[in-house]
Amino acid sequence: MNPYWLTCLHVAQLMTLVPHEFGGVIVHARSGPVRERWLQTLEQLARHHGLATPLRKIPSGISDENLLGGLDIEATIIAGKPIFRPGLLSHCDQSLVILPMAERVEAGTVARIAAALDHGAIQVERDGHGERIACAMGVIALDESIEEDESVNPKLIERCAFYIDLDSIAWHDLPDAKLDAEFIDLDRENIQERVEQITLGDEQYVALVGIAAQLGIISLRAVQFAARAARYLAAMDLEWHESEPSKEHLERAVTLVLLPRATQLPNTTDETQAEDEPNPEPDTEENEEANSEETSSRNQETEVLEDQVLEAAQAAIPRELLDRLTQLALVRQKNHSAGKAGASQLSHQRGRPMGSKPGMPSGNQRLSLMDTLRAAVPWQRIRQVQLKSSQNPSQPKILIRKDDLRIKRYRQRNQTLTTFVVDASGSAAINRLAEAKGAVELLLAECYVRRDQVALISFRGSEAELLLSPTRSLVRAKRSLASLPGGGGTPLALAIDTAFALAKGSLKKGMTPTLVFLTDGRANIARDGTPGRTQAQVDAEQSAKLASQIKVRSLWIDTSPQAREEGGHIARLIGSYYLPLPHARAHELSQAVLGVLHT
Amino acid sequence: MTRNYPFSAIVGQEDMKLAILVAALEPSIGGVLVMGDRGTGKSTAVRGLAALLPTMTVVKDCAYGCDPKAMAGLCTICSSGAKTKPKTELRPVPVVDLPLGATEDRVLGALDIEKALTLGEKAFEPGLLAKANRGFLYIDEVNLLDDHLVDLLIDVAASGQNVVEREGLSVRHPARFVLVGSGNPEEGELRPQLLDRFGLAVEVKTPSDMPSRVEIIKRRDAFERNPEAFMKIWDKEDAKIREMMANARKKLASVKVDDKLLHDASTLCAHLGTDGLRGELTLLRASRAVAALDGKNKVTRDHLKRIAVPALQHRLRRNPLDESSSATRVQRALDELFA
Repeated sequence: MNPYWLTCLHVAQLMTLVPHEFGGVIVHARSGPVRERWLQTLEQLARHHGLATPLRKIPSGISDENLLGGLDIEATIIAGKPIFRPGLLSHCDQSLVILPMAERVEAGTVARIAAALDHGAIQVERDGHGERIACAMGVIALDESIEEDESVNPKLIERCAFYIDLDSIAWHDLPDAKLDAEFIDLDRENIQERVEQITLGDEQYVALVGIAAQLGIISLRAVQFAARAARYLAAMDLEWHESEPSKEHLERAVTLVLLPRATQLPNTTDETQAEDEPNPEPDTEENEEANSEETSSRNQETEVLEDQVLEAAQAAIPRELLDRLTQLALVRQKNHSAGKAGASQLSHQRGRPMGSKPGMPSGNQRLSLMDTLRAAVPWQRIRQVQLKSSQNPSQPKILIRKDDLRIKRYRQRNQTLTTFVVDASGSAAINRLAEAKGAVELLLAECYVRRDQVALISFRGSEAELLLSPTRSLVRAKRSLASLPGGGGTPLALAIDTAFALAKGSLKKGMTPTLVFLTDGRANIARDGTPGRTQAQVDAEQSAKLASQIKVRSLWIDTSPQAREEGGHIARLIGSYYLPLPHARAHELSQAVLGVLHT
Repeated sequence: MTRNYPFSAIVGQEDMKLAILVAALEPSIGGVLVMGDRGTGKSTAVRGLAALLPTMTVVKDCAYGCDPKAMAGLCTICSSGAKTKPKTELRPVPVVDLPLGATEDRVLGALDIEKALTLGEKAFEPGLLAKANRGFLYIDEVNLLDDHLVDLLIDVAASGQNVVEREGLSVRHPARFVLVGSGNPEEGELRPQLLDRFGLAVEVKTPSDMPSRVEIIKRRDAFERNPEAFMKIWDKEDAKIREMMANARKKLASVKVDDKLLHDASTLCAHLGTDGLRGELTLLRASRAVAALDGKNKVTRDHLKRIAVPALQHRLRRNPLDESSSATRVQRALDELFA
């Protein structure tokens, strides 16, 4: 049997015992028998603890009306008085909700759920109705992300105490179902009473904070969750009669809450980060690593406790899983990628309808019938009275006036995504990079007006790397631009592949991608990473031909001191607009890009 | 109603606390924007503000909380003179939440559906902006707010008036509120037009030193386990801040700014290249509020230095060649000019 399964069962226990206290759990797993079994056990536990079952689901593209509530037009017309239909969140108080495909939930929806988790209630202000509705719930977020650039919105991860990965458990590693049943024997009320008697000792608080620092966890919410978990674990342990949790309880709390959020593991510090960065983190501001040198509040004893707890806690999670989670958390912390939330929030073909605004429908502005009716409903009686007095013989059933008309609103109909593909190879890279950075920032400043997004891919040595996933946030852009490493060969084929893959993805999301290549076009690393000019050039041409089939606007800025044949050749193959700019300044670059964008 | 964590129990975050108090003391500054990462306690601080505010005298039963002593900026009923000697009542200064997903009718106010459908009457039902008049309007996740609500807010915040016109329903009412926003800059930038409406902007970070971190966790835990007991302890501290605010309010009008300081403010703004006069004006008003909170009669350079970053950092033009954050640039200018 895989011992990690027990950890997953503990999470199910805690989540069903006090859903709201722990916010939620991110369940990373593909749909399959292991996840099914965990969800089944969860459901049984929920029933055992008197939560409403079957557990409700929040669909990922849910509209505000269904989530928060809205005027029920039909019922209102029939009743002749306003009838407000509460949304899904109004039914979630004291329960657990499932969030399928959590990695695809709209940023707006995540924010609404996050607010409910923070306050245990939602403030609804919609359609003439204002009310505060209790909504103390826990979220079971089913994270099915596979691609590297997919992840659950960090806002949600932050508010979910637990993170489990069921993909790391094979079906044949699962114990007999009888074992799960043993976990369903808790006396909820008794535990609730007991937990009030339990507090952490001072050195235990210090140890938890210290462990979080060792694991590179910045947010204090996580530490709070860990302290809470320790208290509940102690309360669940009927053999335990002390007022402080035991060391084992602390260990388990660390396993459940802190370890999955680790951005570094003890004794492996800096290995993950300092691979080949010539200038390690220049910006001390951004470097908020908790300083573990401080001894003022930690004495030898606490440190021993810390190390013991941490070491024991690690034993409950398979090492390779722990390493993977650490990598994931580190990536998240580094580029703060809001998953795909940022991008999908802006797609206009799918996802949450963006509501409507008053206006006349016309060519590209579609009537939003429901919203129009909703705007018309309150006026019905008043208008009918007016009509009667004007002796109009034919009375329509519903009286619609021009003022009622509502048109559908979409985010920016043609969200553009400008991706810079920057050659970071060789010695001249540093200058080019500085200019590319400047150009990206200037373009981002333009985004205010144009609401575009920007991404950055850099290529050098044997890889092309997405340094900045599509964003509109200058803060994030600056962060990822701050440490752009340079040097090495030119893997042009890889760069073209990566850039067009990203462009293809954004096309699917209903965006208009534009690619800007900044390179001297001298490929010398083949697609498989081996050096050699000939093969590299062949590969690059092949990539270019493939890329030419994807309808994406691209601009090829040749940065070599004297314009050369290779670059122009590849650009022609792709169908790029070719622009030799040997000494381009940031300002010229951004102007050139804008020039191409606006044509 | 969940209890709000007491303002005085917040560990550290001095910049944020000062900016919030200054914005509360001097409404003409135009509010405060608190930006920062997840889990830094942004909204905790803003929500703790409600407990620090005094009560205000209002015309009894007025939906807009009009000030009986005011000559202007009154709602149509209060200014019509129908009530020559209106009855008054005390109300707490409102802190109104603008939740995500709010519809326009609830924000601006609209036809009262109930009355319209059941009685056929055309009556206006005031919205959140009416509730927030003379108080605070708090927008959490301000950068996720719908664009067209942002437009409406910018409009109303600029004029101090809310106008609703539809099918013979025509209402105009005062809506003077201090805008308080919080959000995470990682999730998208704020439009400059909206950014500009905020007088002060602070950036909060999670403290990284161990003792503060331990203290925060302990207090949070204590608050959760027994909010009543925790509130009792910190009520005294909150009361001290309330008293400081009350004294500052009395003092504010008489706080003097001498020419040297005016010169300092202009020099700093010129050095940083902030656009227009707004920055300078905000800086002076905020410095005066800091002095008043300090119980001083005259603004010193030190007061100015304490509030310069929040007053100016969101007004700098972006400099693509300068990697450092706006806050750092303001701080650097302060060090260079007023060392």
